[in-house]
Amino acid sequence: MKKKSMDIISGAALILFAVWGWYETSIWKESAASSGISVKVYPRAVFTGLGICGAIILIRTLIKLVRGKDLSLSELSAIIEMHPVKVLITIVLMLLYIFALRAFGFLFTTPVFLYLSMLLFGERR
Amino acid sequence: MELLQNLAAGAAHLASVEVWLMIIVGVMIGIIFGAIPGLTATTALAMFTPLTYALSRYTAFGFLLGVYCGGYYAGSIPAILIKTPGAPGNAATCVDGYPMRERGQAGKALSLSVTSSMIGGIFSALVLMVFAPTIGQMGYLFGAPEYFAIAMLGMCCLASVCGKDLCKGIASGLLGLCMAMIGQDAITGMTRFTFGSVDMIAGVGLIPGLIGLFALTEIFCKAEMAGREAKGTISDFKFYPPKIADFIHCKWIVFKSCVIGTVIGAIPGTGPTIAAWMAYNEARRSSKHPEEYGHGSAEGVIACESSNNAVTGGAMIPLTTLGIPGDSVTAIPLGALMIHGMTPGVTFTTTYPDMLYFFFIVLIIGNLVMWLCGLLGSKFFPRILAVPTQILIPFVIVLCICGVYASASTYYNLFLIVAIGGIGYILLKAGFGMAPMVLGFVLGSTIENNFQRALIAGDLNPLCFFSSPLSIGIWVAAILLTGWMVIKNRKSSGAVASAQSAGEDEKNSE
Repeated sequence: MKKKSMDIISGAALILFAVWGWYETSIWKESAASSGISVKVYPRAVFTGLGICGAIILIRTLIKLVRGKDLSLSELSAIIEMHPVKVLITIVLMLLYIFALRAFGFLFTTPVFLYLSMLLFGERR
Repeated sequence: MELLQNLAAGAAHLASVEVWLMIIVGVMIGIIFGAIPGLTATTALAMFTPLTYALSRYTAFGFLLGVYCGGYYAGSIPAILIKTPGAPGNAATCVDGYPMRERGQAGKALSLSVTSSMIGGIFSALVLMVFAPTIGQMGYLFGAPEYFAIAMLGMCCLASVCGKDLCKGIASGLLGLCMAMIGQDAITGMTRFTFGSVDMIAGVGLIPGLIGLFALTEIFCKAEMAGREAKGTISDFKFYPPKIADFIHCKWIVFKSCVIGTVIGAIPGTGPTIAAWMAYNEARRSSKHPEEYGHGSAEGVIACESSNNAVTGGAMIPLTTLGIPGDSVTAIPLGALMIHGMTPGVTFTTTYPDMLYFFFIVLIIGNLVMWLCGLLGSKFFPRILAVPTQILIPFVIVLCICGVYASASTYYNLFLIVAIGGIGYILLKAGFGMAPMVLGFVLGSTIENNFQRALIAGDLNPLCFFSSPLSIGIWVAAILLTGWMVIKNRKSSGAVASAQSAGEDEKNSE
């Protein structure tokens, strides 16, 4: 994935997360034990900060793309080396291992997990 | 007199054989993890912290500080042998360490590296012994606004130094704060962001959080590169016993590097990378033979490694006196202190003086053990580097899972670490550093509680955060340090960019 796409996605995701945080805090009821300070103040301050950071990342990337300076463009076109398939298989394998741990216990499950993982990460000849 | 009493109290905990054994085991584990490229002292500390749960706090910290010392040094082993730094702080060691290995002086480079690491580590431990109690005496000046300001200082510094992007660093720290918000609010007891799950009411535990963010994220990054790493075989290795003469002629370089490492380590959020490069540049500037630097200069290796390990004691100064970690690695001992029932912060030095002095002594012993292990084990290091990834990753995953399960005996935490590790991997790929997030997560409750307490005590007036000269001073320090680091980062990235463009120009002209 290109850095510019990643920056746009991450900026937008941060803004969406901040909006969700504001919405989530808006449905909280005020606690009687709050000593005058609303329980929403601190979380909202954090989500506002996240929203601002997301907006800066998004707007900065878009401005760089529109202006098209050579240096910033080459930087934004850099490819982020990412191979999510192997990571996804690792995560699935880990989840299966945790479920199997519950059902069959550590001693039976661990050797199978180790074997399968070594098979996954091993070199192909 | 008080110093001697506290030293004796700290040393008394070393009467147990168990503590000594755990220091030795910790150093060895630290060396093994530090020597394997991709695994770092941070991973080792995150993985092994839960396993110390059942140990006494002294045995546990003997072990963790052993891992800390060994891991910091061992990053130089792959830097010298296969030109791949085990940790970013050892990158400067590659510049002269690898050319030495190419000239058939791998043994000498490793010997110089471990000896200068030991000198740096012991020097910084002694500095810690002198300064930490003095700074700790100021504890009574700290109220909620000052605590909040000091936590924010740590966050700002780490956010600005991690990666090239300040904005992403801050966002990463804020995401860490969000993670710490899950569960019950400490003041009102209200549950937040639990999505109706009973398990989530307790929040994200420190151990699952640290393992997910540091260990699993690194494992996922390593998993995607499995089978594609460069492999090095070293056949021309000769043992080289350390000689005093090697250090006497560059004693000022060693001293300056130790000072640089300790001072940089003591500034919250900096760490060994800056220290090693600064010491290297200073050594080259003041050397009589600067032309030898970059071509296998022993002085270069000594400068980098003594400053790199001098960070260990330096980074402990803000941790033990202010409760903020000096670098990303010390964020884990900070969590470990909380796990073992101690409150890190300005009252730490007065509440647990024996623990503080125990830290000094263990750091010194740990460095001596590291030196012995480094010298005696140098013949085996090439074999450590040859451990295949396909064997390493599954075992590390099993260790992580065992550690997390052992800490709370719930399966919920196991699913949680997988989720946190997955999110951490995506964030890392998007350029968000993990260190600010970990710091935000670890300091989250301190920041939130002091934020709320300060506002309640100050009648909800936001100016209460600037009510005392000390809090104003801390805020000014935070702004100045952040500004300095941003400028420094920009300069270094500018230099890299110009070097790259110069390289491209050369290629084009060819």
